[in-house]
Amino acid sequence: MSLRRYRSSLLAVVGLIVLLGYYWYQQPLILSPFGFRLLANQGTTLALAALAQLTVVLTGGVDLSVGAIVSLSNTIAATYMGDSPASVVGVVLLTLAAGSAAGLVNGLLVAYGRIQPIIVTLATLYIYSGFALLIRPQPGGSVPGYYASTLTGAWGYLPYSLIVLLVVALCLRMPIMRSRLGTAIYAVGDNPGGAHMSGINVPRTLVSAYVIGGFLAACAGLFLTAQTTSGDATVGTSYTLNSVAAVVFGGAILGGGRGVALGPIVAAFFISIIVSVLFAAGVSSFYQSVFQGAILIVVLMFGNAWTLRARNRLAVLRS
Amino acid sequence: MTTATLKSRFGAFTRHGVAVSYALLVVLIVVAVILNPAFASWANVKAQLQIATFIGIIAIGQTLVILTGQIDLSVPWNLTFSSILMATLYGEGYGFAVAVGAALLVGIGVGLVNAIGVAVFRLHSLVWTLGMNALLEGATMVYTNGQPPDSTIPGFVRFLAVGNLGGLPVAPLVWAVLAAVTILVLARSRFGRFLYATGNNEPALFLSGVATRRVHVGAFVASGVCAVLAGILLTGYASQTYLGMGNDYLLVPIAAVIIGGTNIMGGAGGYVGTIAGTLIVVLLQSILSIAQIGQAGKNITFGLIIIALVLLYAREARPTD
Repeated sequence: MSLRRYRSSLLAVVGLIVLLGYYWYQQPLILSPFGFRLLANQGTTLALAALAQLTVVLTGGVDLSVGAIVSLSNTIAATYMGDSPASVVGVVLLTLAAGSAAGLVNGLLVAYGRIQPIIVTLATLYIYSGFALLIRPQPGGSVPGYYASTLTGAWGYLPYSLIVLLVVALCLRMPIMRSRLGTAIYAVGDNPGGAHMSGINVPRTLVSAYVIGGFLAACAGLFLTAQTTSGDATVGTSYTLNSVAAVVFGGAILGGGRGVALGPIVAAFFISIIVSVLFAAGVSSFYQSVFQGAILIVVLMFGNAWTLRARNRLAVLRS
Repeated sequence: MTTATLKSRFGAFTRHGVAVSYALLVVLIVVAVILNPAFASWANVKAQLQIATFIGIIAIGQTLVILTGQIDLSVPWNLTFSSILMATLYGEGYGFAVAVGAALLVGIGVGLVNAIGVAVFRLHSLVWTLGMNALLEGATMVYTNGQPPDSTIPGFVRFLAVGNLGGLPVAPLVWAVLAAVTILVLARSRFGRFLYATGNNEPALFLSGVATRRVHVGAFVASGVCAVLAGILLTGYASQTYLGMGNDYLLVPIAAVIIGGTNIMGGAGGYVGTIAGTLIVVLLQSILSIAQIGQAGKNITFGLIIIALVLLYAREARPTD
């Protein structure tokens, strides 16, 4: 394993370490089992949504419907879950299937409809949020207590949410991204024409990437449901743009071909935790959005500061 | 296949696209009148144009930015912050000129910062303008302490938004003037040609000796100012400013630009199509209301129509040709 692969994640990792260090200084209690659980739960939904976004971004697209799929999964889970373990398992599978189907529609329209991903997912954002509203016109619904505690609880210092995230990232997504399909996804994002010439089935690769994205977004929705224990058709809205921010902050390139999972996951925790850190630091809640926006902007500028030093403007334009 | 031939193909699609979107507009009008004959009444036409004005003005800026291959996601809180600033300053006794001037300065400043991120730091506008939006949301919260602002609306703003001039509503007239200027600039000015060229092939334009960074500045500042103008009109229309007043004005104008046949990747399209796109989204919303379809049905129909239209005229060439 070459560590160089992970260099793009460096900014996010350093950012999160600095942030956690400061948080610990402000609020030493975060080093307790309770604090660990809180921290882990805060970032997991966005981390899963960021993984969904990353998979699509790697193909050179962008998925604006991530938030709508999160909402849709949340409404399905909180409305139909029931109390018996059998119905819980059934509804979890149904939710994952619905998310994958939403991704499948996105992928088919992008690959075979040959429509720009940003337009496809802008349109399906409306469609999926419409379905979420059909299922749950008013916020409400419930999930059994053991569903919530299984996902958001902790065993000593080990939060279950972290296990969920690691299982999804390492046992589900990583094998796929290391397989032929994963290589094809990177290749298509880097150069679709070249990928085609190398014998890769470009449309099928695109469809697979969007299905994986939909599945992961449904995972995010399921975890969010365990946190909120109720359904709301608009609950996922903020996850679309925050997942894009996490992916970019995490070192992936919008335009495709480059990016590893570590960066976006770490960046998702950074973005989710920063609000609590500002709160702990006694920053008025009105200033929190200012800080969030300012930090995103400064981080982005920092990441691209080389453009200021570049002698050759043409090289900058072509980057 | 090179980008250039891909874009020229898109050019053909786009001319086709403008025709299709105007045809759809006519169909929608017929459907609306059949559903409810009162739809053709002058009062209703005025009401529809009034709503279309806000979307149409924002879509001017969005069209220019999208033509360069970028997008402006900072519209919602740029609109909200500048409107609240205007109303608060006027309420505190500053004159009309100071209040509106300050709002316009906000729009210009936001446009400049957006352009710096995109043109100097070469950041993707999708994330950069999003960060600006968050920053402006925070600025609004700090400025208002999170309370709904007390607003006093200048009389002239009320007149611009809901007044009548010789029997015609003023706001759509404002839109018409801005639209005419936009179409002229795009078709006849050097800046207009540079916008298309930037979207098509920025390195080539740069090698031709054009200061492409200034083109980005022009597009983003125009978008910032358009958002402020729409916000001022919206303030006059609603007779108040409120937190989140811009939230409905992010995706709908972008959808109007796409429906109007402008290529989301830049380089092809124009405002003539966007006008049709704007009227289509407004008509669609009210037809769905007449047909008593709820919000869920509205969202689903809206999404399906975007896909159907784009399948009709904005498909890309096969990447494998």
